[in-house]
Amino acid sequence: MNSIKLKRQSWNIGIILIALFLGSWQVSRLPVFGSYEARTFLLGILPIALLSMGQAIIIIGGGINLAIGAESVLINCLAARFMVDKSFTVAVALTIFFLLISVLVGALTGLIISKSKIADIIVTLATSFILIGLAMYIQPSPGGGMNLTLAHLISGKDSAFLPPLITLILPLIVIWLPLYRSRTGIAMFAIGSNKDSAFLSGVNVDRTRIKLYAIGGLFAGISGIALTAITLSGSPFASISNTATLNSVAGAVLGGVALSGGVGGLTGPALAALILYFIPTILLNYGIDPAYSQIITGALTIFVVLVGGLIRNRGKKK
Amino acid sequence: MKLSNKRSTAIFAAVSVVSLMVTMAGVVTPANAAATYKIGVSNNWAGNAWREEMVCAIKAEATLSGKVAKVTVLSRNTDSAGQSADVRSLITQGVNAIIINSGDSSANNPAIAEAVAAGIKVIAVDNSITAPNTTLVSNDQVAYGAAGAEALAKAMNYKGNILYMRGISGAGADTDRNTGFRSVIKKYPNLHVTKEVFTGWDWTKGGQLANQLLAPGKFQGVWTSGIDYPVVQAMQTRLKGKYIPVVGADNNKFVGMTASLASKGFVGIIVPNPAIVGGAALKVAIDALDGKSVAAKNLLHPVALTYAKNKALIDSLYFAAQDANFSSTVALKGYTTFTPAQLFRCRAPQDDPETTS
Repeated sequence: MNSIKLKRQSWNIGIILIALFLGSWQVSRLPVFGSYEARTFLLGILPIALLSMGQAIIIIGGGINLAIGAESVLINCLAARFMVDKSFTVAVALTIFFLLISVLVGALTGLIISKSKIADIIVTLATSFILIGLAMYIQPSPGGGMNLTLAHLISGKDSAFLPPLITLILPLIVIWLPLYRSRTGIAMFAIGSNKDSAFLSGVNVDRTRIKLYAIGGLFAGISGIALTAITLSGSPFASISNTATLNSVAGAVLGGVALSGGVGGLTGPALAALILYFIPTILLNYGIDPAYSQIITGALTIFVVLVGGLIRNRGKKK
Repeated sequence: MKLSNKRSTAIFAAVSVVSLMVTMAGVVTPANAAATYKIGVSNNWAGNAWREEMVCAIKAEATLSGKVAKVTVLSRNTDSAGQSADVRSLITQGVNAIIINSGDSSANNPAIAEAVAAGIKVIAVDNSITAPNTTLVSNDQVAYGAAGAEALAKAMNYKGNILYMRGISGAGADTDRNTGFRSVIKKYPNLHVTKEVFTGWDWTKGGQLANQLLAPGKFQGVWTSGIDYPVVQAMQTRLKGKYIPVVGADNNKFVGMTASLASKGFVGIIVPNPAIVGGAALKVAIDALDGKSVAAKNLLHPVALTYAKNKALIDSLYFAAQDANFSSTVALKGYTTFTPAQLFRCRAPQDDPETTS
């Protein structure tokens, strides 16, 4: 138990070191670095960090959600369409309502997977198309908006970098820590490690999976709301959801979540989003073709999957 | 135990993120205090020939102007959150003007408003944005749709079925072109759009669609939103060389086909959508920085070209050494001053004149 914990800690520390290294590299290229630049960093990582966390929960539970980007885009479009020109109170109420919808969409996805016994990857691929279609129906072209007071509360204004930092960390404390402590949290690691053993040990596999997809959906919903606050608009494009989904998987994997399930946490994926943000930004500032950043991100993901798998296999043999 | 361990990790992480961001404040690299302008470019679609040429036009015109010290190009495939970050990054780097080809008409507005508030001139190129106090330099896309439709209607003798191949649903240019196209087509009761598809401005997808849809006698004309030459290629196989009129853009290969296949009965209708509109945007940016009054909207007015009417011009637009999807318009009167060779060199003012090719 202790060595596993140590290993997980060391992974987080490793990610922090890489993020610090890349961060200071990027900062050294800037003429100034103050709270405005800190906010720029945070706004750059916020949607993808939240999405990576949602994806991480689902992957830890042995699944994968290829519709998580589409869930985020759907909530983004819903929020931008219906929150434009609304008062602060109405906007907050709508935010809560849309987050409930995101939980519902996630739970429904989990339910379909559980009842149909079809692989996660197939079901979520299909729902991603449906959700993007819905998003396009709700917001046919880019536009909409959000109450400015609420937007500034979520994403800050000018140099206020604390609001986005709180938006990033609060879900970690309010959602992840209680989940991790709870019975569902233990069941999550159990079904991710071995579904059959978990079932034989009395874990309700289907219900746990539905819960995990619901919580993953909640993170996607927060990500969508954050995106609305950052951009003050909704964009119903499949390309956005596809990139977001792929980055969420990369973020989860870089953050120490094993694709085979049952291993990982949420702090890692949140930090990994920083790395995913810094790589293209640094290359861009050096005038290097940004396509290379995708190669680096991809190579890094494969490398982490390989090395992580090797380490875990060696651990098992011992 | 578990909890405290986990919580300490979370707190440690939070603290390191904050410290990363705060402690490094004050790392200052002094900028070169030259009296000339710094121009930032934000482009949300990299690896696309049209966009690359647009960026080269900005660099080439900036070099020739003699007033620009540096052109910083942030060009990558990204969503609006990423492009907003790029705009903010340009603000931090202290540019005087930002030329932005925005992937979204409104999603970058908060970042753009911050740039405007910082006294930076913001020029939207190609794709319009809704942010106030910005300047637009672009092709008139409504006129683009209308000019091609009018020429197509004439080439079809005002009757028959049209295959209507649009760009990306929801994209500003696509919506505008559709407005122009529809306004012309509805004037002619015998013209019918019998099939409407979206190519996503993707050459492969456009070619696949053309191969699936083109059948002898089914259509009498094709309007494309710029994905043109794969349609002509599809006609060679699917229609066995019985060509029907196609509306395309000033893509190099389409220009070449319009000229070379004219003798075989092919009517290509070229409606230019110049990538070097980037050069025009740079000119407008410098005018704005010089304190000259600049119109809020600077539109290029596209005219449809056919080989029967504009033979010499079309011949001059074909560049054998360039790629198939190179945008062949290499000069915009009143805006650009570079020669084709200078455009192809793609040199920014800060680049070493010896090494850059």
